[in-house]
Amino acid sequence: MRALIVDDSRPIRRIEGEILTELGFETYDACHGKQALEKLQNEPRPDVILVDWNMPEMDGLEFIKAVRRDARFSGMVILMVTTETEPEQMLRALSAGADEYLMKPFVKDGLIDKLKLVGVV
Amino acid sequence: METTYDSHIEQIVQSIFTSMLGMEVFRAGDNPAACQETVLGTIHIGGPKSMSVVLGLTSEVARVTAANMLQMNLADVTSDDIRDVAAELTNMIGGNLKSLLPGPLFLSLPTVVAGRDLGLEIPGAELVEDVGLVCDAGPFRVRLFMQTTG
Repeated sequence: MRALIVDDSRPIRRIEGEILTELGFETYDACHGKQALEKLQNEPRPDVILVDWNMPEMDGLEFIKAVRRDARFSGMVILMVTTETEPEQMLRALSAGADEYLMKPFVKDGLIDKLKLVGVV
Repeated sequence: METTYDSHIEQIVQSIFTSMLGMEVFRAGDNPAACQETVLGTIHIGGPKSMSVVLGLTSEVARVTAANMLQMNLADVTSDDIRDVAAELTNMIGGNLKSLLPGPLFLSLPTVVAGRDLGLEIPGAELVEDVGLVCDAGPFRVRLFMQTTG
């Protein structure tokens, strides 16, 4: 199983990476949506993408829309992990194509529960 | 009656420190200005009533929070680690505070400065909350500035 972590925060990339590695995932990461799209085109397909919302270059919402528009990436599971905690924002992310939504701060079990919910654990 | 945010800020910071750092946080005494900040994280909440959130950390709190979030030995923490963790803590405080405010609002990316004798001025904004907090590593504070001019 492979996971792509997209977040401009190095601490968050590291925390999520450690949790996913413990679960048996091979992980790779990107600092923003634009870099993540490049990696999707050039590296093996991930089973799940964890993506932040607020990032430079291309934010998480635009990244999700771009992934969902591209037939090459169909069926990829996307979990948005963000400080955008308002219900309206959650709906925007889900409408754009996120499969699930996790609010920061989160605990390890919270992330694992969401990964179970989307069927990758 | 004016809305106050101090208890919300306290709860948000407690939640972040507990879940992401494994650290307890309590409300400090009445003199947050006594905290010698060497790291300042700032994030702006833009909208009809723009605000800025400033997280001020002492060097010790900054180092310990970085070590805890990154699960590193204290001796191995670098200045980059400190800035990255302060930025993420500021981001989480700002994002969670934004959800309590009337919208629509947008959140900027966080910025962090580090050094001694840091002066803080946000033009066109007044200080509306100055919340002193304390964790195992020492005191720190969160300030909220509200825009007064366009």
